[in-house]
Order: sequence, then structure tokens, then C-alpha cells
Amino acid sequence: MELLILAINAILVGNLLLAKFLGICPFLGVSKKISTALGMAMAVTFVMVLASTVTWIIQVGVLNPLGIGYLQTIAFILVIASLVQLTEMAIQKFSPSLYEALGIFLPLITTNCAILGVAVMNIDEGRGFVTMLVYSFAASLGFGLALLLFAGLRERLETAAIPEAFRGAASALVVAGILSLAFMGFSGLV
Amino acid sequence: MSVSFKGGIHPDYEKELSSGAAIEDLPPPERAVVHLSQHIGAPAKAAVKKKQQVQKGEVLGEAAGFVSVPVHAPISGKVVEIALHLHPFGSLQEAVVIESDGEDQWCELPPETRPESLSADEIKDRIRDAGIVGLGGAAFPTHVKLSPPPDKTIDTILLNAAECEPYLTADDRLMQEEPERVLSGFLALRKVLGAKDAVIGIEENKPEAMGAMEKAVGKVDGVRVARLHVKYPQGGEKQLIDAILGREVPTGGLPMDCGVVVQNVATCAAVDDAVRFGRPLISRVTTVTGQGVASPVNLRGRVGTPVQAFIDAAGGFRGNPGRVVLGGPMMGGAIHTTDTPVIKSTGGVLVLTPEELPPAEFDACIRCGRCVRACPIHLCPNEMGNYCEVEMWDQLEGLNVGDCIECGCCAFSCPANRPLVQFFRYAKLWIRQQAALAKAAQSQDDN
Amino acid sequence: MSLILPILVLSGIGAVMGAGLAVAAKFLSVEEDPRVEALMEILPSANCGACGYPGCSGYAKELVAGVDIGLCSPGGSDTVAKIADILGVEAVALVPKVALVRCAGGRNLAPDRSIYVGPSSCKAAVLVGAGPKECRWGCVGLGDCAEVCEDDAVDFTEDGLAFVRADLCIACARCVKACPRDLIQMVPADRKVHVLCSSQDPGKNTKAVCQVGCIACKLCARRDKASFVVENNSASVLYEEGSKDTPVAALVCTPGAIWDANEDDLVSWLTDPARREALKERQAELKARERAERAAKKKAAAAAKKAKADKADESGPAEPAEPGTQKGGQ
Repeated sequence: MELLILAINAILVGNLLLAKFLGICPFLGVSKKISTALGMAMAVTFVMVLASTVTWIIQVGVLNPLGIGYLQTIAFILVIASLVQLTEMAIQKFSPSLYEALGIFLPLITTNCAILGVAVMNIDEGRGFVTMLVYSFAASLGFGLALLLFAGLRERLETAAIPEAFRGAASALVVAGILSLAFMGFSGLV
Repeated sequence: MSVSFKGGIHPDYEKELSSGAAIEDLPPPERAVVHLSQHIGAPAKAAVKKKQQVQKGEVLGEAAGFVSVPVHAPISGKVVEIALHLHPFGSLQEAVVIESDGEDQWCELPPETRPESLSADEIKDRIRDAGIVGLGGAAFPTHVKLSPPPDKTIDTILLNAAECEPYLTADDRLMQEEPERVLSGFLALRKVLGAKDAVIGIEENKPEAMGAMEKAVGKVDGVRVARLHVKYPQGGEKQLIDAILGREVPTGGLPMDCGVVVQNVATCAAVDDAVRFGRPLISRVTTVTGQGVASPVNLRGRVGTPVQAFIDAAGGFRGNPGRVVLGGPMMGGAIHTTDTPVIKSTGGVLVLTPEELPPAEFDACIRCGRCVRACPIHLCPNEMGNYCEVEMWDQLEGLNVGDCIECGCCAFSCPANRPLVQFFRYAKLWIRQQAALAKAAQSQDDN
Repeated sequence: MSLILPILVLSGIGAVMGAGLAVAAKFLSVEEDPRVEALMEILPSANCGACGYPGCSGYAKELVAGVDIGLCSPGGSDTVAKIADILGVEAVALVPKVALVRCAGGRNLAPDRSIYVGPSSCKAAVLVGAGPKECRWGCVGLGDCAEVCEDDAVDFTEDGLAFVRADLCIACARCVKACPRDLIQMVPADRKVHVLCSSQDPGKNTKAVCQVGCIACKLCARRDKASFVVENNSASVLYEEGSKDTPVAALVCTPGAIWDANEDDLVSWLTDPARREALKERQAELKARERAERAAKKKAAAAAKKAKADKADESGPAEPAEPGTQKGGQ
């Protein structure tokens, strides 16, 4: 039950993108089409769960026993960077079209604050292994949900008669703000 | 008790303008421009030469393939030209120009035969040789409709007498004045198809026509008259089938996929001529109407007559014409010069005054959903229109724009005056063009 | 110790990750020619498609496979030289090109026959209603070409006719593909004389719908077979290597469908009614001059003949004055 509450909290109430404002870069960059947004969401899910797991093991298994917890950030970045490289290679191998569509945003997952954020939060909150897994997975689902919703909205936005000055990024930011407001409505749910 | 379909609209019908005018014969034109492409499918191939003398009813163009019909000379005279001429649809198409010799002499025709004495195949051949197409507006070759593939059985044939387009009264008058002819053609068509049931669907706003048809039908076995609710597009094939039989034509399919064939009133009359007298289709009844003509009339005019002749016969323009439309106001196409010749499927010449024209500007969709309620095919014209406007073809997929029958209900009901039908026509043509390009690329790859 | 431990730990993590990546690289490796990346560096990254391949990366891949290296017109000769360098092949000369709208019929000269209502796109107008213009070959003017042009090189006259500003055009040929009537052609930038009409209707029909349409009278081709060709009722300039401009041909064009950039700039040629008057004057001048020349020639020939005759027969009668001389002076 507690895990379920944790998951709902991670997906809706404490949504990475819309409540914690982490990972805005792909949120705005890869949300023009639902199909690429879906690819991005899946890549982030994969990296996030894997990175959280590995970083948790390193923190709890290596850094903490040795008393060098202060290496957290640099060690985590190292791990995440390697994992992103791995993902990039895998996507290039298995889905070249998705690789082309994601473009620069794929390597940018390396510096995606959402990934590092979740990894660090897991440590800061002192989560156990299972809780950590559930939280990272739920958080990445929340990331995907927000990204897909936003991509859907932006596709619709393309057909709207918006004044020239508000086309593109301007209206996208306005929509992102409204979407964030909407997600605030979930606060108090759990 | 009348039947109908879901959706549709109630425009002003304005039928009283011309419904009282008996059918008159329009004198044959001095010069007829007969288009070789008067039907859906491959244009006919010219079978005459320049300077050749032709009699009325002689073949000018041979059918080029199965989905094609021959074209016949509407007047006797001399072929003066075979060249590109303005087609009512706006483009230049190949046409045979005949200059009249004033004789108006029929070519040799087979002796009069009773339709009952002919076999189904003989009737079908006569229909094809007479160049008969669906005269309701689509101009689909009739013999193709009469040749269902062997795995499909046709149990019902419908006579489309709804004439749901506002203004038009040609079918109404034809049924009032010559109900036997219409019925005889209809029964001949039933015989070809071997259909058990035959239903004549007439909208309630034509009581005289309904009376005449009921009287003509009398006790003919298996034929009944169905009263239809007055609503546009009641006369759309799919809507008529839905209203009378409660069946639905599958997406991308034809009425024959649900065991039905629908034929129009004027087509039936032409079929009777072809079967009984062997006469080809060279004339038809056309309504000349609208606030922009002096005295609206129903005229039996020859194919190839310029539109101007029809307007002159209706007393000319009243005031300044705003727009001349061939067909009805909902689905007809505007023409830019009255020199345009009429073709087989021209059932109406409608002249609108400048005040009646809709404004040319349109606004953004306000998402009121009226078009969704009006669409008789149950599509989402609002979304389709938005995506068409910005050419987002990927998103258009799955909205079934190909099922649109271009009836114009959505555009009629749109408060933002959006040209939705044009959008969908564009989308359909674009999709067809892309498919053709893809196919061409494919065959190139194969080689 | 407190210094060595973190270093060891970090190096350990790095080593493990590095090893993992090395293994992964082996299993997940994608064969890629290093030259492709090098080519990507030097291609202009405009992704314009002028080469006919999907974007610069597409062209780079095909280049390695050995296609023509002279296809990148936005890059120009520099890029071609660099491509040749990377691929180790001979550089080819790249003729700089610009896009040219081959229609001069604005609404004032080639009127619309109807009012178009519908999506604001040439493609849509042409597909749905064969376009609002009476001429079925001419510029629709709804701006499909301008929409795809990323350099704002496509502009419109007041009469709704598209034209390309040569100084802004990078020769990406996007507009060529966008035009549903195939009016836009890539022409060598150094050529000055162009036929601005694409109508393939017989001259009679063209004349009925456009004042400046090519009527396929073949005067230009007759004057200069090497530079002009008339096919399908439509004159066009032969831009092939070796052919050259013949400014005088512009003057023989009866409807004035040939534009000579030496004489007029494009905008005034398309919009200024005075230039047509001026053209007529120049045409008359040319005609007069040529007639005078012909007459002079004839006279000279006659004189020579007379001299010859005189030699043979001293008492020959005097030739009457050449009638063409007087006429030619007009």
C-alpha cells in the first residue's frame, strides 16, 4: 500500500516535470510529435531505472562503507554518462529512425537533471532497494506521462490559429505552465 | 410515418421556384460541345474525325475500358473540331464540337422492343451502349453498377427519388409527368440485377410525385414506395440505404457490399429510352432556377448545349448574377463562364444573386461541434478540417477522410464559414496523389 | 589513505563502466564509414534536399557509396573541393545556380477566372479546382514556394506573381519541389536571358489567357538554334554547357516573354508597364535596323551585279531605287 502511494505520488503529485521542474530540456525539445516523445519517454525510463539502481548500489555498497559519500555527485555522473552511452548505442543499433529523431537529446540525457535528481533523491530520502526501484520507475512513468500529454497538446496547437508572435516555443511555454497548474490540482491527493 | 438517417441538415429548399413549371423541350443548339469525359472512369476515345457528318445518336466516342461509356452526338451535323474545351469541372478536357445542320435527324435505331422480351444481359448491353451514367450527379457508369461480382448477391434495388438538393425539381417533374417511363426503366434495372425487392424512396415534400408513382406502381409485385423525411442529404446513396433498409455500407465499400443498388430517377427514365427504343443518352431534364433567373423552368436539354442557352430559356438573368452553379447549391460546382457546355450529369443550373453568396473569408474553428452533429457519415469534420488546413497528413490518418461524401453539411452548419468540403477534397486528392507517387516509385524500384 | 581511497574507488567505477562500454561497443557496434562523419562536418547542414537525398546526412552516406559530388549547390565550389579532398577524387566545377519562376503573368496580364476559397496553398488550389487563374500553367500566387524558402528569397509582385530574388537564393531547390505547376527551374546564375513562360497550350489559347505568354512562334529558336528550343508549344533556353546568351533574341519575342537581365531587373520587368512599351520600341528599332541592313545588303548586291553587268554590257539601263530602303528608314 505504501509503495502504491509512493508511486502515485511520484507520477502525479510530485511529477518530475510539472511539479519538480526537472528535465525541462527534453520536455520542450522532443515534444513536437507523439511518436518521438514516446521514444524519449522509453529511453528515459530505461536510463532512469538502471541509473538509480546502479547509483544506489554504489552509494550504499561502496561509498557509504568507505565513508566517502561526498563523491556522490561525481560518481553518479560517471555512471549515468556510461549508461547513456550504452542506451545510445542500443538505440542506434535497433532503431535508427528513433536515433535520428531524438538527435542531440539522446546524449543530453547524460546531463538530464531528472536522472541525477532521482538518483540523488533516492539517497537523500534514505530509501531501501525496493522503494528506490518503485520510486524511480514511477517517476519515469510520470515523466513519460507529462511528456506525452504535452506532445499531444502541441500537435493540437499546430492546428490552432495563434498570432505569429506566439507560435512555436512561446505558446509551448504557456501551455507547459497551464499543464503544470493543472497538475497542481493533484496536490493533497496523497 | 417517414424514415430517415442520423445527422444531416435542413437548408431552405426553395423548390417552389420551379416545382410548378412543366418540363419543356429546349431547342437543339446550333453548336454542341460534347465532352468525351462525362463520367467517372476513363474518358471515351474519339471515334469520329474532323469534318465528318454525324447523325443524332451516332457514337462520337467509344468506351475506353470497363469503367467507361460511349458518348453520342446530341444533334446531327458536321464535326468541326476535336480539341480541348472547358469542362464544367473547371479544367480543359477533350471534346467533340458539332455544328448543327438543322435537320436533327436520328441515326438508325433498333425497332421498338418491350423490355419484358429482352434478357437481363441484353438489357445491360443496351444500357452500356446508350452511354448511360448515374444522372444524380456522380455520373458513375450504370452498367458497372449492374455488374456485381459473383460473390455478392443483390436483394434490393432502390430508386433514389429523394431529390434532397435544394432548388432542384427535375426528378420531381419527371415523376409527375412520366411516372410510367421511370417505373419501366426501374423494373428493367431490377430485372438485370435479379433483385427481389424494389423500393422507391421519395421525400415527403413531393406529394404529387409520390401520388403519381404510387399510382404507376399499382400492384406490381415487390415494389413499394417509401416516404422519406425531408432532410439533406437524404438522397445520398448511403443515407438512403440507412433510412429505408437500416443497413450500413462498410468503409471504403459500395452499396453492393450490403446487397443494395441505388439508381436515380433520371437514370431510370434514360434506361427506359435505351431499352425500349435503343436511344442513347443525349438529353436530360435540367432545372434552371434561383433568385438570379427571371422565370425558373425545367428544361429537357441536349448534352453539349452551352449553359447560356438554358439561362436564356429561363428568361435570362434577373439583375446581376452573383454565381452560376451547375447542380444543386450543396454539391454543385460554380462555373466562371456561361459558355461552358452541360454534360450528362448536369441536373441543375442555379443562379444565385450577389446577396446570397457566402462571404469568401473564413475564421478559425471555434470547436462548437455543429459539423460533427450534421455529418451524415459520422465523421469529425472539425478535426479533419483543422489538420487539412495545416497539412498535417499523419494526424489525418485514422479520421477516415476518404469516407467523406462531400455533401457539404459540415460547411453549411459551420458558424466560422470554414470551407470544409474544399479541405477534404484537397486531402482526398492529396492522399490519392501520394498513393500514385508511391506506386510509381515502387514500380521503378522493381524494374 | 583518505586521498588514495576516493581515487581508487572512482578509478574502479570508471574501469568497470569502461569495460562494460567496451563490451557493449563490440556487440552493439554499427558499421559507419569515418568519411561520412568527415563529410557531415563540411556539408552546409542546410538539409535542403537540393542534392536529391534526404538531408546532408543522406547525401554524405551516398557520397561514400560514390554518387556525383557536384550536387551540393548551397555549398558551392568550396564544398565540392572539400568533398573531393575527403573522398580522394577529382573536384568538378560547380556552376552556381539560382531558382527562376518561369511565369511572368501576374493578375494584371493573366487574369483570374474565378475567386478561390479554400486552404491557402497552391497545391490545394491546383488539385481541387485547377487553380483560380485562367492560364492553367501559370503561377497561382498562393505562396507554396515562399513557405518552403528559408532565405526569404521568394517574393510576390502586387499582382500576385511569385519571383525569386537571385541575391538571396542559395539554390536549395526546395521551391522547385513545392511548386505544383513545376514553374520553378534552377538556372545558371551567370545566364542573363530567360524565357518566363511555361505554358504548353497552343499559341492561340495562351494568347487568349495571358498577354505575356509564349505563343510558340519559334522566332527565338529560328534566330538562335543553339540557345533556344521550342517544344510542346513552349520555348525554353538551352542552359547546357557551351551555349550562351543572345540578348537580341529577347527583342524578337512578340509577346515579350523573354527577359534579358542586362536590360531590365526582374521586378521592374514584371511590374512596370513602361518596360513593355520600351521593349516594343526596342523591338521596332531592331526591326528597322535589320530591315535597313537587309536593304543595304540587297543594294550592295544589286550594285555589284550592276557593276558586273556594266562590265559585260556598258550600255545597261540604271537600276530603279530599292523600295526597301525608304521603308527601312522608318
